[in-house]
Amino acid sequence: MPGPNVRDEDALNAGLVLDVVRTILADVIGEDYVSVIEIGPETSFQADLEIESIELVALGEQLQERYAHVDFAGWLSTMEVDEIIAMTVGDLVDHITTTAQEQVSRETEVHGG
Amino acid sequence: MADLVVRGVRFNVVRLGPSAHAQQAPEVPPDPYRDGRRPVVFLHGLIMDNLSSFYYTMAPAVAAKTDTVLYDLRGHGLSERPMEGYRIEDGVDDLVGILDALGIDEPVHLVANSFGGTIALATALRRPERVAGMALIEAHPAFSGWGQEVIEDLLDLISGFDGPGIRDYLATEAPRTLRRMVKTCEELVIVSSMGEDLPASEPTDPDRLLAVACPTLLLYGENSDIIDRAFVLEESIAGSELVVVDGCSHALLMENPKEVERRVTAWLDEQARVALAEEIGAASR
Repeated sequence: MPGPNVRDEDALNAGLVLDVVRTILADVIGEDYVSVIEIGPETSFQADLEIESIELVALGEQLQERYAHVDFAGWLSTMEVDEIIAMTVGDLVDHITTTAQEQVSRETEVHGG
Repeated sequence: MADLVVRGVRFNVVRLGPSAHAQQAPEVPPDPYRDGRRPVVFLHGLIMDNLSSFYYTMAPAVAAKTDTVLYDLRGHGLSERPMEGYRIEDGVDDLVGILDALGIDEPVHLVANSFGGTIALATALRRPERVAGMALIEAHPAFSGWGQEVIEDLLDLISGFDGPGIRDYLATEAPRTLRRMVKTCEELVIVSSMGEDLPASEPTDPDRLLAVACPTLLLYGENSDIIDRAFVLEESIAGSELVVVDGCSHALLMENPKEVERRVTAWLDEQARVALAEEIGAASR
């Protein structure tokens, strides 16, 4: 029985997802501006990281490559720009783990448990 | 998201499409016009703008139905900022180069905002075989003298940064986003050749626009400061259709993104429906 792939299992672990998000953020924003160590679930994209809208797109696209189950563009388009900018790193991590959990549940149903 | 090197410049390109997530949304009914659709390319505005203004608004809705490309123009967003190549003709060549690099050789629909519309109109004139149609939001046609006017306005804006205390504020407390915005503006307008290139670009005057043959949707805000261009474009371009949105200014895309999305996606549907009907008609003859 084909189970969820390894990448999806990684996506269920909030700690691992946070590490991935941290690494990509440091790459997108530049490590001289943001220290990987300082990024946590409470970190706000706007207030703490002062992220630019185009950098958030780059973050989403890189996460998209890493977590194929998440439609980042579609998810972001359901929010107002103000909501997107007010997000925390934890909100993003939650979205990735929640959608991964939903996918695993769906696959379990399909494959009869 | 991928970097593409075109004409010696690294471009930030995002390609979205219907295939990636189609299987996740079984509730979405099949698209009756699918075979009539063309790829869509989004073109953003000048200086402060980048592909995110479409990525956050209508791009996902468009990408649900067709192959969709967004990119940061030369010098903008996360694309490279070379010191030259800012004539409108360069913008056309960059666009065609990106399409070539992506292997898109069929004509595309251009969806453009403001200065993106300047490039779209020039593309329809210079490379008509690459353009199936245009949805132009608050387009700035490059009428004679337009480039000079734009640069003078930008220089005025930049001279404002020299007001009392502003440089100090930018160097110390100003948010990173504002500092970056000022830097982008100064680098493009003063340091790069944009200041000379835009005024030296070949104009797209109303008499030349008579040659635009593709279907064109014109969207303008009721209170736009460039609404006069809307009427000139409507008169010059035979296949054009003008929609004026109530209560909006030149910032139409940001002020009423849902209405712009509704108008543009309905227009794209109509283009696909017509293309499909023509195809079926041709096949049955």
